[in-house]
Amino acid sequence: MTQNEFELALTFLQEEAMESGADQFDIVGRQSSSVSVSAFSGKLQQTEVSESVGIGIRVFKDGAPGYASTERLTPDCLRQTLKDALSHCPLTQPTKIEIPAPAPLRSQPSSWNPDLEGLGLDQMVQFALALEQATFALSPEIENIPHLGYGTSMEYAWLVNSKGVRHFVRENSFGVGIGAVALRNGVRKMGIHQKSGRDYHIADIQEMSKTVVERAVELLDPQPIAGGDLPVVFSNRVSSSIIGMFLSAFHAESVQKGQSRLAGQIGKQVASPQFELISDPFRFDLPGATPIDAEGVPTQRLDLISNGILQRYLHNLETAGREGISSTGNASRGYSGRVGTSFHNCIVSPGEHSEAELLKLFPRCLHVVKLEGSSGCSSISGEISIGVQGFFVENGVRIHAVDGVTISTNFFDLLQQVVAVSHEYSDSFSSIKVPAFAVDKVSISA
Amino acid sequence: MNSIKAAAILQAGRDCGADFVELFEEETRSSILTIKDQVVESANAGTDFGVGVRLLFGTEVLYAFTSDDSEATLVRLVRQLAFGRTGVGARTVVSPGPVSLVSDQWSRMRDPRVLGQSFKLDYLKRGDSAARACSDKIAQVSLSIVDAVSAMEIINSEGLCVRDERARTRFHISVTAGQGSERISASEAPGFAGGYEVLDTLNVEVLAKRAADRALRILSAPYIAGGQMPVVMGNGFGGVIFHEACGHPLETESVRRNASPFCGKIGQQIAHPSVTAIDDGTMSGLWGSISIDDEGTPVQRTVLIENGILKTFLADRVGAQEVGVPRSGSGRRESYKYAPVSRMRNTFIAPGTDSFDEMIASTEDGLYAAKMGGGSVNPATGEFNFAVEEGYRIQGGKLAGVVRGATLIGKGPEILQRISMVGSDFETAAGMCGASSGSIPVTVGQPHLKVDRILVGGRA
Repeated sequence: MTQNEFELALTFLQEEAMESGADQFDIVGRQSSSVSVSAFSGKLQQTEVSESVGIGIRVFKDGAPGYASTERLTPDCLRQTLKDALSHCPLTQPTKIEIPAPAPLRSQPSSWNPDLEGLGLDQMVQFALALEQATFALSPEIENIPHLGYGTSMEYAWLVNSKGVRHFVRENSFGVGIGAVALRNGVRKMGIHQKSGRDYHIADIQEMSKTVVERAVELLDPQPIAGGDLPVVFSNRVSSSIIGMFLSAFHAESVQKGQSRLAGQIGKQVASPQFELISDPFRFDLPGATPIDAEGVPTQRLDLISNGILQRYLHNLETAGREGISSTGNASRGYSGRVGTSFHNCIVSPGEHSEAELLKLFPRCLHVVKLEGSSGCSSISGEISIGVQGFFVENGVRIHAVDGVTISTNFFDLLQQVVAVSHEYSDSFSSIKVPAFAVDKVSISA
Repeated sequence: MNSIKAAAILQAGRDCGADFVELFEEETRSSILTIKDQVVESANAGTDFGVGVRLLFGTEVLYAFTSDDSEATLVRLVRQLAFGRTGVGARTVVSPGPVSLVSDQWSRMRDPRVLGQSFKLDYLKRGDSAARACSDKIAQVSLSIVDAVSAMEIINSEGLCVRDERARTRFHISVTAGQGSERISASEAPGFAGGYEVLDTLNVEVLAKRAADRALRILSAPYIAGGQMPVVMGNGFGGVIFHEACGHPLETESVRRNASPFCGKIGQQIAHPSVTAIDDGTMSGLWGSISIDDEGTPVQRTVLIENGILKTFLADRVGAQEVGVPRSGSGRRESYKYAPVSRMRNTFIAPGTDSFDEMIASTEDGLYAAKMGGGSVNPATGEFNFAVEEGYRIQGGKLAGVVRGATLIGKGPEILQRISMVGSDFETAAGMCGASSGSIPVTVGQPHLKVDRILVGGRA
């Protein structure tokens, strides 16, 4: 389907919605494509090419919202989608939402790199095979490379509403990732490394192979440590994952529905003074940048935690309407889902230390570089009970690798226990950027 | 799909030199109704539609998908996918045969597409009231019913042309209990293959009370002191640990990448002799049941481990060819947006002869993991991590108080060898499984069983 054909389908649904008797509506549309390859054992294992489309509509009738979506963009299917959405309105509660009219937006640099259109399948295959070969060549202890892939993707996104907003943005990116398994004395450890972003030239075979081998081999020969309370330094390889699991606690929706322990905490000390948390939609080098949210509200840079004090929650139109305030412009929405809330780039401000300096803050500490899943963590209770891997460190010197241990704490206690934050971020192309940070006491089981 | 169009696309794949070409066309209608804060929070419905084309060159997989089912687009994508490959010599395409319908589900189904979302309201409101009635400490109740009705056609260059139709319905309740600033959630989420007729088999009040009572118990529980200890695993959803720690490494998708500790071990003793493990896609009405897999292979009951001995792997077409085991009707995918790979269906440890009371009585100091939360595994290293939603200490051969914050970590093959008792009280539970071919419905199951030693994470 061409861009023009897609826009015609979008306009068709918009016109049908205008005539449907709905009070107001908004429509999101996505047109995306991707190309990827994966390699294994010196051969191309899988190639994938995709082109997909989807349109979702939210209509309001007597103030109550109804949603529906479709990936089939024929006139009949679009009419049925509108009918489905309208049929849902009598089931839901009226809201105080007023869909926004067009507003001046901060100009946004292009998120489209034309160079990526020239990156062919053959180049991706050659890179992947060369990366595999280089990785095996670096260490005889690399037994297997079960994960090795390279891909590009592009997306065109539209937001159209009944007040005349018609916002279009396009973006593209690439990603290359490798997972290598090292084997020594019957112990296997996997190292993972990936590069992604808009400039594919940052992916360097030498750097990637060296890093993934280091990450696999460094965890071999783990030795036990005693259970008990220990200071922990969360590496910038895992710090974004730890913080990212609990971001919904800052959403007004969670607070309003009794599912955030941050309820009633605005103006109070919820973290140590070293900890600052920001939503920054204008960090245009990161994938969460946008001048407008998923409901058409202009976005803004927001301090969530300053000097350890909670400043605000994130709102969309619905949560703001419940409190009689303005949206903070943090609505999010895919074409097939309902409106939710999100940070637009969640950033923890940099501290004064390097990660190596954080390790020297304690006579002994655990340096965590790998998390074993996330299932022991709850954004509602704040519980963290999770297996980790890393290193036992004395006076800043790595003594030995550690596995077979779990950490147990609570996220909201953890925020209070942060003693220092690093200024070194990982180079991941991610909308969550958190440097390494140090916590003075976490319970360890071994 | 029109047979002339299908033949043209299959031919385009063969013209590129592919050994095998397959089309997978799917249309899924799904809907969800959610209640939160005692009112309908969201009502949503959608239509997913598209076509996937798979070309195999030996065991090399080339896959394309699109929501545009025009012949021109599909042929273009096939050529793009093959990037310049051409056939060696003439190849004959077998024309697709007549469509055969494999499912008999429809004759007895109460069709969600006909009954609509309002049909769900009564079930959700009853669940909400039952949960809130348990205590004034219930801070929030969230309930939903999600359903999906899919029609898919699989056509391949070997002449296969089958149509399958599937319906699934799942009820979910999450109850949050609160005291001061503390919040604890517990949930129940039974799911079934079928339409709205399955809702009549649910006792939503019992499910709501079960979730609410569990949240309340955990709210007042102390943290467990972690360490190595024996663990009695709960029946039903306790089977998630076998699913993650052993099931995934028994898929040819892991084995063919040499990313499984079970590579080359067919015929060997890999588990305690009391362990027999089965993956069975034929169990009527279960959440993970299918009539055919997503490659068109009839589904089957596959004995993976018998009395501790590894018998076979779960195999899709490519995995069977690479690993050298028979196809087991296990080629599955979330939707047309994924190429199929070997995946589990309804996976369980078969019942044994031990009793739950015997397991507790034989444990001097340990943990009863009554209700598991989620978990994950790295098949290449076997390392797993599971949350225990509700646990009890076992002291002196008796159940002591409820504890919170427990996590189980270890390596799958080691745990299999440490299962020493297998109960007779078999149960199953529904779940969603995520892997390279997307998120698919599966069932896990087991009776109570005892593992002699696992590292339990908790507070020191």
